[in-house]
Amino acid sequence: MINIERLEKQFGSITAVNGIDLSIEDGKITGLLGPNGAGKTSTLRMLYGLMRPSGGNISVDGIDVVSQPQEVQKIMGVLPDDGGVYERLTARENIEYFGRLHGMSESSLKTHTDELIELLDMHTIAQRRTDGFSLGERTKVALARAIVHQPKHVLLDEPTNGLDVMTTRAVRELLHRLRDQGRCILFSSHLMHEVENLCDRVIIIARGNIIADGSVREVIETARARTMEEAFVTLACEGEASHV
Amino acid sequence: MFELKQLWVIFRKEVSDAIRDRKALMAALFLPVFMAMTTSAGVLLLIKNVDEASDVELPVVGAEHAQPLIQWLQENGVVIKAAPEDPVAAVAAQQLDYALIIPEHLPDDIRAGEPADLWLVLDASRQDLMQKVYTIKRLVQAWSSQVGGLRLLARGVSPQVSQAVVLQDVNVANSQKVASKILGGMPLVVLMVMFAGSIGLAADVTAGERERRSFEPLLINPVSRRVVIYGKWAATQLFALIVTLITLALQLIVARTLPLSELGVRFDLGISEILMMLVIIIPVVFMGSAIQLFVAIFARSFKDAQTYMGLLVMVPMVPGIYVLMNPGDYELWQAAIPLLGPQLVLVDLFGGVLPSPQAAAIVIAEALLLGLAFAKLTEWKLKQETTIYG
Repeated sequence: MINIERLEKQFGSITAVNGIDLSIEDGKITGLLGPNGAGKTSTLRMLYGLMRPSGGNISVDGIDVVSQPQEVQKIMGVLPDDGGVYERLTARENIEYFGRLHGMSESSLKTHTDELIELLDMHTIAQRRTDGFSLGERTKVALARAIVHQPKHVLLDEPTNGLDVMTTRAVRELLHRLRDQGRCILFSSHLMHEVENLCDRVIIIARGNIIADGSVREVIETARARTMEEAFVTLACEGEASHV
Repeated sequence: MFELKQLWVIFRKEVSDAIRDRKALMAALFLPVFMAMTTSAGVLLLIKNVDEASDVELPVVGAEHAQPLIQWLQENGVVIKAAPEDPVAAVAAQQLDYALIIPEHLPDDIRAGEPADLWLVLDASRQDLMQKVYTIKRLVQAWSSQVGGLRLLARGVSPQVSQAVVLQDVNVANSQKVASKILGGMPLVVLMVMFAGSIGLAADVTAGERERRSFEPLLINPVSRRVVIYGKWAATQLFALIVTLITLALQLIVARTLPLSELGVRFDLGISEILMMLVIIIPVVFMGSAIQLFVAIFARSFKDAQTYMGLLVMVPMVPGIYVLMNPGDYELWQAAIPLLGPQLVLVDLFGGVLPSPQAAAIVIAEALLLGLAFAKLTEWKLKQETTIYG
């Protein structure tokens, strides 16, 4: 369970996040949508404790992110929007490195690494150094190392970026599985069909404000649109316009 | 406890990562070998110059006609050889450097008390031989005035009458001085290699992470910035220490193997001096690695970091040159100057002298404090959002 209250972030004179109130439940997949520069990535960065909010509070399972970032990070798994893998380490070593930093025991680390290699179909690349991996292969490694410690909260910034159809399906299945285990999943995306297929709840933000919040059906109805894409365009444009 | 475990995880990862970077590893390990070769070459060149000046060979025609002169020359270190039949042609063809011709009638001339002619065949355009030619000329002149002096004595005249002035040489080209500067330069070599040897690793674990944008995922793990920096610091120290110790060992081997005694330099290190060197070098590595990390974390890319740290290698040179120019004793306060202190103390040790306990304590304490301070600064820099997202 993630609770956000009046969250604000300013970069100089620019307001990236403008007083967001939000609570994200366990056992659901929540999608965060918004045009470029809407404040999605800033919101996520503040959630996982690497960016300090200018104002407001964030707590994860009742733990305050700003004062106890490491306690929150222990129960969180994050795939950032742009994160490099270590090229001289193999895919498996990359995953194990992060698992060990979480203090996992060697036996549980092996079990869960094997499981993720299986789920993400990484058998052929697991023992290879990640130098020369395709974007999709890198994303798989980054995803696996982000959730190898079985976090209760999973934050993903555009997880299916650059993935082929097969891998996208694998990621989708993985997210369903994590949700069915009762975990709290928040992810951002640009891909409307993905949001439609995957999300139990959709939040659209524009210019640092929430402009729509509800199930896919509810959001489409609010916008009086036929598809999610239409709804997004309508709402996002309104959101932009209301501030001009 | 958990933090120590994390520190170990980061240290282990950085070490195995660095070991796989074969090119950087080879470059780092080549450095000590290169420096050892440079030092040996310097010493050997010096020894060769000294040898050339002292061992003068002299091809002689008609040596049998002037036995006393030949004996005098041999007593003064000249090696007499038989010259070919036509020494003038041989010297002209550069088959021979120079030759002394003693005519058959020399014993008669001497007995008659007349000045006898000797011929030294030489090629005056060959400047490289002038030192030896000068030596031979000097020796022959000296013998000549000895014999002349005896003749005067036989006639009841003091030989000193024949001398209006006596020109004495004062030779300041002291090979011992130069050789001791080579020894004095060894601490500088050790410090420079220490900085140069771990550049690759220090750049990779800081600027490299920034360039790859892997600091963000790394710091999303529940690990404190201090643990991250300390783990990376420990790995950098390990590499710097290995490279430094190899350098030190090779320099000591060079100093021990080469015939430094020919230059009149005593190189005689005991186990206590070598242990003391380690006691000094380990804290200096501790400090140097922290400085490297601090400099490198400001760079946005691996390449920038290498440029910054290439300049860093030059930093020990300033005090190093001071040490070379001012050999000998130093004041205690000088030991407190960063990077100068360690070199002063090490120069003592290379000379086989244990430094004063105060000087050693100052150097060690200062290196440890500066190391911690720079690690703290690096940690502060890693806490800036611009370092992770910049």
